[in-house]
Amino acid sequence: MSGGNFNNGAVMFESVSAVTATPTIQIGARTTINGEDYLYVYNGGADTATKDHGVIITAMTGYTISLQSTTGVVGFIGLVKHADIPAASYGWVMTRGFGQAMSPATVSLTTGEPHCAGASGVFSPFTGTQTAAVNGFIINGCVSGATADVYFSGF
Amino acid sequence: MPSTFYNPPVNVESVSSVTATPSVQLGAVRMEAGDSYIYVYNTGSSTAGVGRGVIISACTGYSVTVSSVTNIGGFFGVVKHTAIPTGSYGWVLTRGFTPVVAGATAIVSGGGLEVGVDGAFVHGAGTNTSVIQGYCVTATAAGGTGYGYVRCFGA
Repeated sequence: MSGGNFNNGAVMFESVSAVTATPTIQIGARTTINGEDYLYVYNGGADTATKDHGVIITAMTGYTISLQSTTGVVGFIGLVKHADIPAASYGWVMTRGFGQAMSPATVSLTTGEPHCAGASGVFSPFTGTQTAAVNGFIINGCVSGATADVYFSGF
Repeated sequence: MPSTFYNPPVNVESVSSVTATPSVQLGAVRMEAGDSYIYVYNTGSSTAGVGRGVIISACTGYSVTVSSVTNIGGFFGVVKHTAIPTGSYGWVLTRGFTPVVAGATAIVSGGGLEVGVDGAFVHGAGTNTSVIQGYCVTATAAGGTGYGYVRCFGA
Protein backbone atom coordinates (compact mmCIF):
# COMPACT_ATOMS: atom_id res chain seq x y z
CA MET A 1 0.00 0.00 0.00
CA SER A 2 1.34 3.40 -0.89
CA GLY A 3 0.32 6.74 0.50
CA GLY A 4 1.51 9.81 2.33
CA ASN A 5 2.76 9.88 5.86
CA PHE A 6 -0.71 10.65 7.13
CA ASN A 7 -2.53 8.11 4.93
CA ASN A 8 -4.64 10.92 3.61
CA GLY A 9 -5.67 9.13 0.47
CA ALA A 10 -7.40 6.21 2.13
CA VAL A 11 -8.54 7.93 5.30
CA MET A 12 -10.44 10.73 3.66
CA PHE A 13 -12.75 8.33 1.84
CA GLU A 14 -14.18 6.90 5.06
CA SER A 15 -16.24 8.50 7.79
CA VAL A 16 -14.88 8.33 11.34
CA SER A 17 -18.27 6.80 12.20
CA ALA A 18 -17.58 3.76 10.02
CA VAL A 19 -17.34 0.36 11.74
CA THR A 20 -16.52 -2.72 9.69
CA ALA A 21 -15.77 -6.41 10.11
CA THR A 22 -12.71 -6.16 7.86
CA PRO A 23 -10.18 -3.32 7.84
CA THR A 24 -10.77 -0.60 5.28
CA ILE A 25 -7.40 1.08 5.81
CA GLN A 26 -4.19 0.33 7.66
CA ILE A 27 -4.50 -0.19 11.41
CA GLY A 28 -2.86 2.66 13.28
CA ALA A 29 -3.80 5.23 10.66
CA ARG A 30 -4.53 8.65 12.08
CA THR A 31 -6.61 11.51 10.78
CA THR A 32 -7.91 14.87 11.95
CA ILE A 33 -11.54 15.84 11.39
CA ASN A 34 -13.03 19.14 12.59
CA GLY A 35 -10.07 19.68 14.89
CA GLU A 36 -10.37 16.25 16.48
CA ASP A 37 -7.70 13.56 16.17
CA TYR A 38 -8.69 9.96 15.42
CA LEU A 39 -6.90 6.59 15.37
CA TYR A 40 -7.99 3.50 13.46
CA VAL A 41 -8.12 0.41 15.72
CA TYR A 42 -9.26 -3.20 16.04
CA ASN A 43 -11.42 -4.28 18.97
CA GLY A 44 -9.67 -7.41 20.22
CA GLY A 45 -11.69 -7.52 23.42
CA ALA A 46 -14.64 -9.72 24.27
CA ASP A 47 -17.06 -6.80 24.63
CA THR A 48 -18.43 -4.14 22.34
CA ALA A 49 -16.57 -0.85 22.75
CA THR A 50 -19.63 1.30 23.22
CA LYS A 51 -20.07 4.96 22.38
CA ASP A 52 -18.86 7.42 25.06
CA HIS A 53 -16.48 4.86 26.58
CA GLY A 54 -12.68 4.78 26.65
CA VAL A 55 -10.48 1.99 25.29
CA ILE A 56 -7.04 0.68 26.24
CA ILE A 57 -4.26 -0.96 24.21
CA THR A 58 -4.15 -4.74 24.68
CA ALA A 59 -1.54 -6.09 22.28
CA MET A 60 1.81 -5.08 20.82
CA THR A 61 0.71 -5.41 17.23
CA GLY A 62 -2.05 -3.94 15.16
CA TYR A 63 -3.40 -1.26 17.48
CA THR A 64 -5.65 -3.78 19.16
CA ILE A 65 -7.84 -2.28 21.86
CA SER A 66 -10.27 -3.39 24.53
CA LEU A 67 -12.90 -1.87 26.78
CA GLN A 68 -11.48 -3.72 29.79
CA SER A 69 -9.85 -0.90 31.70
CA THR A 70 -9.34 -0.81 35.47
CA THR A 71 -10.28 2.13 37.67
CA GLY A 72 -7.34 4.41 38.34
CA VAL A 73 -4.83 2.36 36.35
CA VAL A 74 -2.80 3.69 33.38
CA GLY A 75 -5.28 5.39 31.02
CA PHE A 76 -7.18 5.39 27.76
CA ILE A 77 -5.72 5.60 24.29
CA GLY A 78 -8.99 6.68 22.74
CA LEU A 79 -12.66 7.54 23.21
CA VAL A 80 -15.43 5.89 21.18
CA LYS A 81 -17.17 9.05 20.02
CA HIS A 82 -19.47 8.13 17.15
CA ALA A 83 -20.49 4.48 16.84
CA ASP A 84 -20.16 1.29 18.88
CA ILE A 85 -17.28 -0.95 17.81
CA PRO A 86 -18.29 -4.60 18.37
CA ALA A 87 -15.75 -7.26 19.29
CA ALA A 88 -13.58 -8.28 16.33
CA SER A 89 -14.51 -5.13 14.41
CA TYR A 90 -12.57 -2.13 13.13
CA GLY A 91 -13.31 1.54 13.67
CA TRP A 92 -12.09 4.98 14.68
CA VAL A 93 -11.52 6.21 18.22
CA MET A 94 -10.92 9.85 19.07
CA THR A 95 -7.51 10.48 20.62
CA ARG A 96 -7.90 14.21 21.23
CA GLY A 97 -10.87 16.54 21.19
CA PHE A 98 -14.29 17.19 22.66
CA GLY A 99 -16.69 14.34 23.35
CA GLN A 100 -18.97 12.72 25.86
CA ALA A 101 -17.85 10.35 28.59
CA MET A 102 -19.87 7.81 30.55
CA SER A 103 -19.58 8.09 34.30
CA PRO A 104 -19.41 5.08 36.66
CA ALA A 105 -22.65 3.54 37.93
CA THR A 106 -22.20 4.98 41.41
CA VAL A 107 -19.95 8.01 40.90
CA SER A 108 -20.78 11.40 39.44
CA LEU A 109 -18.43 13.59 37.41
CA THR A 110 -17.92 17.20 38.46
CA THR A 111 -17.52 20.13 36.09
CA GLY A 112 -13.95 21.38 35.87
CA GLU A 113 -12.34 18.32 37.41
CA PRO A 114 -9.79 16.09 35.65
CA HIS A 115 -10.84 12.59 34.63
CA CYS A 116 -9.05 9.27 34.25
CA ALA A 117 -9.75 5.64 33.39
CA GLY A 118 -12.56 3.92 35.22
CA ALA A 119 -13.67 0.29 35.04
CA SER A 120 -14.70 -1.20 31.72
CA GLY A 121 -14.36 1.99 29.74
CA VAL A 122 -16.18 4.46 31.97
CA PHE A 123 -14.52 7.65 33.17
CA SER A 124 -13.64 8.26 36.80
CA PRO A 125 -12.70 11.42 38.68
CA PHE A 126 -8.93 11.77 39.05
CA THR A 127 -8.07 11.88 42.74
CA GLY A 128 -4.39 12.72 42.50
CA THR A 129 -3.29 9.57 44.28
CA GLN A 130 -3.98 7.10 41.52
CA THR A 131 -1.56 5.28 39.23
CA ALA A 132 -3.41 6.62 36.25
CA ALA A 133 -2.84 9.36 33.73
CA VAL A 134 -5.12 12.37 33.51
CA ASN A 135 -6.99 11.90 30.23
CA GLY A 136 -8.57 15.37 30.15
CA PHE A 137 -11.11 17.40 32.07
CA ILE A 138 -14.85 17.58 32.54
CA ILE A 139 -16.64 20.48 30.89
CA ASN A 140 -20.19 19.70 31.97
CA GLY A 141 -20.52 17.24 34.80
CA CYS A 142 -23.16 14.54 35.23
CA VAL A 143 -24.70 12.22 37.76
CA SER A 144 -23.66 8.59 38.06
CA GLY A 145 -24.42 6.37 35.10
CA ALA A 146 -24.80 9.29 32.69
CA THR A 147 -22.66 11.11 30.15
CA ALA A 148 -20.61 14.22 30.79
CA ASP A 149 -19.17 16.63 28.24
CA VAL A 150 -15.39 16.35 28.33
CA TYR A 151 -12.19 17.32 26.63
CA PHE A 152 -10.26 14.13 26.02
CA SER A 153 -6.55 13.57 25.38
CA GLY A 154 -5.47 9.94 25.20
CA PHE A 155 -2.11 8.23 24.84
CA MET B 1 10.51 28.05 2.69
CA PRO B 2 10.10 24.58 4.20
CA SER B 3 6.72 23.26 5.25
CA THR B 4 5.74 22.86 8.89
CA PHE B 5 6.76 19.22 8.85
CA TYR B 6 9.92 19.67 6.77
CA ASN B 7 8.82 16.83 4.53
CA PRO B 8 11.32 17.20 1.70
CA PRO B 9 14.49 16.60 3.76
CA VAL B 10 12.92 14.24 6.30
CA ASN B 11 11.59 11.74 3.84
CA VAL B 12 14.97 10.98 2.30
CA GLU B 13 16.36 9.74 5.60
CA SER B 14 15.48 6.59 7.52
CA VAL B 15 14.28 6.97 11.11
CA SER B 16 17.07 4.49 11.92
CA SER B 17 19.70 6.92 10.74
CA VAL B 18 22.24 8.20 13.29
CA THR B 19 24.86 10.73 12.22
CA ALA B 20 27.66 12.87 13.65
CA THR B 21 26.36 15.94 11.85
CA PRO B 22 22.68 16.91 11.50
CA SER B 23 21.01 15.76 8.32
CA VAL B 24 17.73 17.62 8.96
CA GLN B 25 16.75 20.47 11.25
CA LEU B 26 16.68 19.66 14.97
CA GLY B 27 13.12 19.41 16.22
CA ALA B 28 11.82 18.20 12.87
CA VAL B 29 8.83 15.88 13.28
CA ARG B 30 7.51 13.11 11.09
CA MET B 31 5.29 10.05 11.00
CA GLU B 32 6.40 6.62 9.83
CA ALA B 33 4.16 3.55 9.80
CA GLY B 34 1.82 5.08 12.34
CA ASP B 35 4.59 6.12 14.73
CA SER B 36 5.58 9.73 15.43
CA TYR B 37 9.23 10.81 15.64
CA ILE B 38 11.27 13.91 16.44
CA TYR B 39 14.88 14.67 15.49
CA VAL B 40 17.23 15.26 18.43
CA TYR B 41 20.88 15.67 19.48
CA ASN B 42 22.38 13.52 22.24
CA THR B 43 24.23 16.00 24.40
CA GLY B 44 24.57 13.61 27.34
CA SER B 45 27.62 11.69 28.44
CA SER B 46 26.17 8.26 27.64
CA THR B 47 24.88 6.50 24.53
CA ALA B 48 21.08 6.41 24.34
CA GLY B 49 20.46 2.74 23.66
CA VAL B 50 17.50 1.12 21.95
CA GLY B 51 14.47 0.88 24.23
CA ARG B 52 15.59 3.70 26.48
CA GLY B 53 13.84 7.00 26.93
CA VAL B 54 15.55 10.38 26.72
CA ILE B 55 14.83 13.60 28.56
CA ILE B 56 15.31 17.19 27.43
CA SER B 57 18.58 18.57 28.77
CA ALA B 58 18.83 22.04 27.25
CA CYS B 59 16.46 24.83 26.40
CA THR B 60 17.67 25.11 22.84
CA GLY B 61 18.28 22.74 19.99
CA TYR B 62 16.29 19.71 21.15
CA SER B 63 19.26 18.36 23.06
CA VAL B 64 18.54 15.20 25.02
CA THR B 65 20.20 12.82 27.44
CA VAL B 66 19.49 9.34 28.67
CA SER B 67 20.40 10.35 32.24
CA SER B 68 16.92 10.38 33.74
CA VAL B 69 15.93 9.94 37.39
CA THR B 70 13.31 7.41 38.52
CA ASN B 71 9.80 8.85 38.88
CA ILE B 72 10.90 12.41 38.13
CA GLY B 73 9.29 14.11 35.16
CA GLY B 74 8.96 12.13 31.97
CA PHE B 75 10.59 11.18 28.72
CA PHE B 76 10.70 13.37 25.65
CA GLY B 77 11.03 10.36 23.37
CA VAL B 78 12.27 6.77 23.11
CA VAL B 79 15.11 5.36 21.03
CA LYS B 80 13.33 2.77 18.91
CA HIS B 81 15.68 1.69 16.13
CA THR B 82 19.37 2.53 16.59
CA ALA B 83 21.44 3.62 19.58
CA ILE B 84 22.36 7.32 19.50
CA PRO B 85 25.91 7.85 20.82
CA THR B 86 27.06 10.94 22.65
CA GLY B 87 27.43 13.89 20.30
CA SER B 88 25.25 12.32 17.62
CA TYR B 89 21.95 13.08 15.94
CA GLY B 90 18.99 10.79 15.38
CA TRP B 91 15.26 10.17 15.56
CA VAL B 92 13.41 9.27 18.75
CA LEU B 93 9.88 7.92 18.80
CA THR B 94 7.41 10.23 20.51
CA ARG B 95 4.18 8.26 20.08
CA GLY B 96 3.66 4.65 19.10
CA PHE B 97 4.94 1.14 19.75
CA THR B 98 8.54 0.63 20.79
CA PRO B 99 10.91 -1.65 22.70
CA VAL B 100 11.20 -0.55 26.33
CA VAL B 101 14.01 -1.41 28.76
CA ALA B 102 12.90 -2.28 32.28
CA GLY B 103 14.63 -0.72 35.26
CA ALA B 104 15.57 -2.50 38.48
CA THR B 105 12.20 -4.24 38.63
CA ALA B 106 10.22 -6.24 36.09
CA ILE B 107 7.47 -4.61 34.05
CA VAL B 108 4.26 -6.46 33.35
CA SER B 109 1.71 -6.34 30.54
CA GLY B 110 -0.99 -3.76 31.10
CA GLY B 111 1.04 -1.78 33.60
CA GLY B 112 1.67 1.92 33.18
CA LEU B 113 5.10 3.10 32.04
CA GLU B 114 6.94 5.94 33.73
CA VAL B 115 10.44 7.34 33.71
CA GLY B 116 13.13 5.21 35.40
CA VAL B 117 16.84 5.67 35.91
CA ASP B 118 19.09 6.20 32.89
CA GLY B 119 16.35 5.85 30.32
CA ALA B 120 14.77 2.70 31.72
CA PHE B 121 11.04 2.34 32.36
CA VAL B 122 9.27 1.56 35.61
CA HIS B 123 5.66 1.22 36.66
CA GLY B 124 3.92 4.16 38.24
CA ALA B 125 4.45 4.79 41.92
CA GLY B 126 1.46 7.10 42.27
CA THR B 127 3.67 9.80 43.74
CA ASN B 128 2.69 12.51 41.27
CA THR B 129 6.28 13.50 40.52
CA SER B 130 6.25 11.76 37.17
CA VAL B 131 3.70 11.14 34.45
CA ILE B 132 2.35 7.90 33.08
CA GLN B 133 3.44 7.82 29.47
CA GLY B 134 1.91 4.60 28.19
CA TYR B 135 1.36 0.90 28.62
CA CYS B 136 3.61 -2.13 28.79
CA VAL B 137 2.25 -4.60 26.23
CA THR B 138 4.98 -7.26 26.46
CA ALA B 139 6.43 -7.96 29.90
CA THR B 140 10.09 -8.39 30.72
CA ALA B 141 12.27 -9.07 33.75
CA ALA B 142 14.36 -6.40 35.44
CA GLY B 143 16.92 -5.04 33.02
CA GLY B 144 15.31 -6.82 30.09
CA THR B 145 13.66 -5.39 27.03
CA GLY B 146 9.89 -5.57 26.64
CA TYR B 147 7.50 -3.71 24.41
CA GLY B 148 5.23 -0.78 25.03
CA TYR B 149 2.95 1.86 23.60
CA VAL B 150 3.98 5.35 24.64
CA ARG B 151 3.09 8.98 24.17
CA CYS B 152 5.98 11.15 25.28
CA PHE B 153 6.36 14.90 25.77
CA GLY B 154 7.78 15.27 22.28
CA ALA B 155 4.50 14.15 20.68
